[in-house]
Amino acid sequence: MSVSYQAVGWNLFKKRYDRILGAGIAGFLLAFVLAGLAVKPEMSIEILLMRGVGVAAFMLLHLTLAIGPLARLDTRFLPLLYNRRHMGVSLFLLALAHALIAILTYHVGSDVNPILSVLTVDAGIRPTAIPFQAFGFLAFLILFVMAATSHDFWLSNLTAPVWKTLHMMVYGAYGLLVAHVVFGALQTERSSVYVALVGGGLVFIAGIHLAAAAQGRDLDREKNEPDLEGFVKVCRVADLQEDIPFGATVAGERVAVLLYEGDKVSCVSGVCQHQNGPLAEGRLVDGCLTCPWHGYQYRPQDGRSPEPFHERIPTFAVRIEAGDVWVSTSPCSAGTPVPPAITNPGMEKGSP
Amino acid sequence: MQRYHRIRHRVLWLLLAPLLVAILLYGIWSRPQWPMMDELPDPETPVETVAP
Repeated sequence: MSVSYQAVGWNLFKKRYDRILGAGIAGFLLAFVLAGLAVKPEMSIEILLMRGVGVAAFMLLHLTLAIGPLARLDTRFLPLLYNRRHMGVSLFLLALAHALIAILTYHVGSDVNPILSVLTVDAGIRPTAIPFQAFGFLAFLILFVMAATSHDFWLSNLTAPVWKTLHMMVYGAYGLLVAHVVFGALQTERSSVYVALVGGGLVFIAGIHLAAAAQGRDLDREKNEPDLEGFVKVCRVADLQEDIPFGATVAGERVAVLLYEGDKVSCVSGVCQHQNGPLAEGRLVDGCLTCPWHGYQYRPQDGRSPEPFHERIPTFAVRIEAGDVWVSTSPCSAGTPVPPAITNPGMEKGSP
Repeated sequence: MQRYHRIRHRVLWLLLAPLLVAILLYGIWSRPQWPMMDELPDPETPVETVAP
């Protein structure tokens, strides 16, 4: 028996997600071009298409950036997070189409190299002194690197921290694209509607990121001091619900405390090895703590993924005293088995 | 390490948000006035032609 390699682990949800995404993009482009032809009939089809794919890419970037903080603020947005990378790659393809049409329309046909022309010449179409096309070109390079390394192959080879750092460049791309739009399209399209749309999008994206960050700061506040043995009280047994993790912060690290199999209590890191997903917001499925983002699983006793997977997360020693759950502030190395603490028979516990 | 990532994310947005708002405001404020655009005839207006 052998297992054949699959580039993308397709499932019904991913297929439906991609179909809705593709139909949404195609519908938007069609509506944009038709509306453009009705409002500005003098505009050529290629210019309308260039603007359409550019606007679609910019909108999709807003959506992609909004999913993360929205899912942290409200778990109902979690399904959107599951396949976010396909949205990111779609956004890159739209940006590629925008760049190709712009270069073919404005930068080909002279003696100057088209890429050099993008960076140095304003193509004579904008009176602004700010080189808005250079901003767009730099953002495009970032989107290219992100799309090229979006596959799990790169995630596992670069390691999650490096991959995450690399993909945080999306915020730089967003900043560059805001500058690209402000010093480009907004210089000639003088209607206040466009200003309100760009400004509203910016305030929305920055607002939800700052709101999610403020919420995370509250979670990071540790409420109790460790005792002499280096254990800290994180909750009462009564706070725990069977198979539903309880999130807490111990020595600056997020952890997930788990009550399972009736009376066992274990504690593991609250951060998924895959993409730093919030394990404390998941639940136990088939005896494993399951990440709400992409379904990566870990056993509560040893923090290891079930066979044939190899992911491991740190585990923590747990103690129960007088109905309180105490967790060690020194994590065991990833995948270390730790015997679970046992709740006393008849001890009051929460119910799901 | 996790805490470092979270703090980095917060600091990044605290810097990025006002920077982008400033870019937007500067971009709008510095929009060029195009007197020649205002002087262009409306497409509907018949253009006076001078006989050769």
